[in-house]
Amino acid sequence: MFSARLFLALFAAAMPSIGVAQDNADLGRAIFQDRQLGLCLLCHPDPAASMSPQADLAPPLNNIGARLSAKDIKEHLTSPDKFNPQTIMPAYGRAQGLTNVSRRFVGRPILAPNELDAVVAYLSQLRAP
Amino acid sequence: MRAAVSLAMSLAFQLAVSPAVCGDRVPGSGFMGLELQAMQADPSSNPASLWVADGKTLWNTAAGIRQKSCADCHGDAAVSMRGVAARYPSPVKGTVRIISLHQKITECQTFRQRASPSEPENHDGLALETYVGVQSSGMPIEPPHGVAMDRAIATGRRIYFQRQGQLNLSCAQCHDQRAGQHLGGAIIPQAHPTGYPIYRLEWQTVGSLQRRLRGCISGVRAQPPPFDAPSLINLEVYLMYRARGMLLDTPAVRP
Ligand code: HEC
Ligand code: HEC
Ligand code: HEC
Repeated sequence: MFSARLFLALFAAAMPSIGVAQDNADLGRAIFQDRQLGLCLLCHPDPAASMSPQADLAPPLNNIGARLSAKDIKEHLTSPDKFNPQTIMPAYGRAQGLTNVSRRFVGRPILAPNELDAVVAYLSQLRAP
Repeated sequence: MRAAVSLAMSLAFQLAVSPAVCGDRVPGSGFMGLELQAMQADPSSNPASLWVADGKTLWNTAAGIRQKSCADCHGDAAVSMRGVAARYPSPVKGTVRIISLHQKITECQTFRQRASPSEPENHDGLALETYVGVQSSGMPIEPPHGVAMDRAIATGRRIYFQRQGQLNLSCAQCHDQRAGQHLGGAIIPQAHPTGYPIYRLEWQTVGSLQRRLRGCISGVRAQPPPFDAPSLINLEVYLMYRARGMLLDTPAVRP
């Protein structure tokens, strides 16, 4: 978990400034696919892979960039309960008001703000109907 | 004798190959592929058979300051332990304290044999528990009644429906509402504790129900209680109550 994060930080830092936006989206994709970091693939199928079995607890996101603005995507990540009060999707920026959080994670959101932004950049690029 | 054993084995085989569905309730084996079901059902391919065999040896081995074996007091486990695993956790006689089968076995080790009790997930302890458990294979889960049990069921149920951890998920959201669906690549079972202790391929060993529960609790990034903590016992009690009437299939195999 720690090493994945370190790797991603180095990966981001090593990128020259050309195509910064693309780099950020690539970082977002890596976070999205990392089962210890983004955890998205616990519930969502992976738009970039067709191997099975895939998670089927949440809708595919293949076309999410065409359907939602970056701002709306971010709101889905930080406040999924706004759209569905019964949602099982965790609020990604939230660190308070939770019950019995493991000592390893207490007081920390699942993703840091820069990681969230990278994931939003990745999702914004997904436009395959 | 041989014939009886092989008859029992082939009966067990048939039982497990068509998982004993009980109304809407399906044991964990019902969510597995046919290959794993067959591995579970055939003692010659079920890796937990090793634990059963070790348990049988331990059952008959004198231990502790008193140098007594389990068999010295309990005789043939097939007779004395039949149905026991189907009603644990149970209250300690004359008290409201509820203990797991593992704890009951460690009580006998401590007070009857004057031996040191098996630590949770210790090989010998799991072997004894599996050997005791197998004596109830095919029997319906039958939790005891009483005020202490009612209270434990209520507390266990509360934990089961409580969202917890950094992922903020309850047991019910997965096991009641999404059984049969996929979490990542894993099929979500209904969480019926019919087959414990189990051999889990991912662990590459036999493990207890409490180990499984702690795994799910860590999985939502919640703080798992220590082994034998009251909250784990209460969860066990609730799960056994929820699975009452379902047939035990110890030792089960899981992915
Ligand atoms: C525990 C399961 C779970 C996890 C983990 C999860 N999601 Fe979701 N997500 C859902 C569900 C279920 C929905 C459907 C709407 C609802 O019920 O909230 C959803 C909806 C969404 C939506 C809105 C989709 C739409 O079509 O409107 C987006 C965007 C999204 N998730 C992105 C993510 C990303 C990115 C991650 C990882 C950083 C993630 N989700 C992790 C369960 C999950
Ligand atoms: C995010 C979904 C999820 C949550 C929440 C969850 N579990 Fe699980 N649980 C699983 C999955 C998936 C498996 C099967 C694991 C495998 O096959 O690798 C499982 C397995 C089990 C099993 C084993 C069943 C068998 O057939 O042997 C039990 C018992 C169980 N969970 C109980 C619980 C309890 C109690 C809670 C709440 C404290 C809980 N789970 C929370 C997903 C979940
Ligand atoms: C010195 C005699 C003695 C020895 C040795 C002994 N036990 Fe017991 N055990 C008892 C008695 C008496 C009871 C019933 C009273 C009680 O519950 O404490 C009992 C109860 C039990 C029960 C609960 C049965 C039920 O119906 O609830 C289990 C399980 C058990 N023993 C397992 C074992 C195992 C396994 C061993 C060997 C490691 C063992 N015992 C060794 C005397 C013994």
